[in-house]
Amino acid sequence: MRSHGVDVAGRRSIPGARRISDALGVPIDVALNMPRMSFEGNARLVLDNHRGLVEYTPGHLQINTPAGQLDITGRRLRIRGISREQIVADGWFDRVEFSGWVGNSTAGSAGQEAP
Amino acid sequence: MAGAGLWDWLRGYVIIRIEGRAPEKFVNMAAAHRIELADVAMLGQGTMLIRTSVDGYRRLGPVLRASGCRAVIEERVGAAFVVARLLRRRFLILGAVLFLAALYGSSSVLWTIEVVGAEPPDRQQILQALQSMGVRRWMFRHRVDCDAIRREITRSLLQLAWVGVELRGTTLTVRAAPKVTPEVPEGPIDIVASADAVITRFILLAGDAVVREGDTVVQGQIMVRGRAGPSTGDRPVNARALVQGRVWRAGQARIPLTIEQRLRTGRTADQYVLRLARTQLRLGRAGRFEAYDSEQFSTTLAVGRDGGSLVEVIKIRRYELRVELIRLSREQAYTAARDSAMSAAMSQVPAEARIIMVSEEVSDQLLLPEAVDVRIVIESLEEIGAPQIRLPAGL
Repeated sequence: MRSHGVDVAGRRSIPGARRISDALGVPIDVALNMPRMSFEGNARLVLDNHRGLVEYTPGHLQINTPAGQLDITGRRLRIRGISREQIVADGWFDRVEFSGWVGNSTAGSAGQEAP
Repeated sequence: MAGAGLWDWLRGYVIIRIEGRAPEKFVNMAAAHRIELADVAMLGQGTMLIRTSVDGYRRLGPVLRASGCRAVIEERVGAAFVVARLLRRRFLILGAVLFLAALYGSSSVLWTIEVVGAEPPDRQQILQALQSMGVRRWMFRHRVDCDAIRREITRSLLQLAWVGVELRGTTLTVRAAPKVTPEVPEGPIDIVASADAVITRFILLAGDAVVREGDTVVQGQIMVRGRAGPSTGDRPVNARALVQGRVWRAGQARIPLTIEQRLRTGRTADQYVLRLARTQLRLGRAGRFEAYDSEQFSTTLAVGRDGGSLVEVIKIRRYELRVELIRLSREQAYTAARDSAMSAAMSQVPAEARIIMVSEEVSDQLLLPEAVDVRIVIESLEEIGAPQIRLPAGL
């Protein structure tokens, strides 16, 4: 069931939220309670507004966020710091995948492979 | 939340190994309890290495229980742990305190008293004066009043012209200079020739004339003799006269037509010499230049007691030189030789002399084809009488 820009899980859809955030003049990540990510190349990630680690091995890092899960596969992955709000991870990222995010074209995931 | 820095080290941190079925759960719960974790590294299935602050480690108990993990401290790092380890070693601290106290104590007393510049009788008197003022070895340095010592020694020892007192480190140095009375010459004064000359004017004022106008004299020759006093029963008469002479002075210079010019190529090599007393340590490259000139700069790092440098760093900078042969025309060589000869001749002429003639001789091109030789002769009129004390016979 889907009405007025709200999906089955009760989360507000991107176009609906964008309309609200545009009208109120608030950033979309605040309006949608989305995580904020900052990548430095394929070697470092600073992620704000996370919901905890799901899995961590030197080759795979899975982080829960309010909007869905973030999967990173790579080599020598390390968590340089973790606090309630922020995770800083580094290593060599080969693939970053967003699974279960609102607006994904497929039910599965949308990924981006590092060149 | 990056690697451990100085602030982390000052606060102290621990590296702990977390073991359990789900260490990720432990990490999430610690973060939820606002315990910051850093450098999380997965060692293997169910084992993690984590860095956290001392305060964070103390608050981990409930998190460990709830997550079903256990923690083992692998390493304690930081200033707090270093201090704690030192505090456990009481005798080391006691030794350090005693050492510092002994060092402070021994550097606050007078170890040596030196007297410089005075001969033995004066030296003894200076030491006696110091003793009577209560200045002796092993007294506290802060009780030494250099000004008072200087005033007292200057007042009591009249044979001293100057006294300096300096307290440097644990050494008190008294420098003294005895009064020197100038010796009055006994012999009469003669007038001698200051240069080789022909006398052009001679006015005798006192003494016995030995030469006349028109005579040729050589440098040092007596022209007017003073009369010796006491030995002849007469009072001594010092010779006085106005003697003007014609003096010739020559300057010569030879400039070859082919000259070597040494130019710096721009390549340099720096070498450093560390000198410790008599030992030298050379650092850096000497530069293998065929021709070079060099400059030296020295910096004294520690001064010895004799005022010389004890530790010195000398920088030797060598500049590579390129030698070029330059061919001069005969006119250029002549100009350079004339200027050089003129300045050589002029440098001998006194400022008050009156120049009456300048003549020049240039070498013959046939006799000297590869160089130009110029000789400049300056003729001047000047006062040539110079007073000279006659030394007593036997000296």
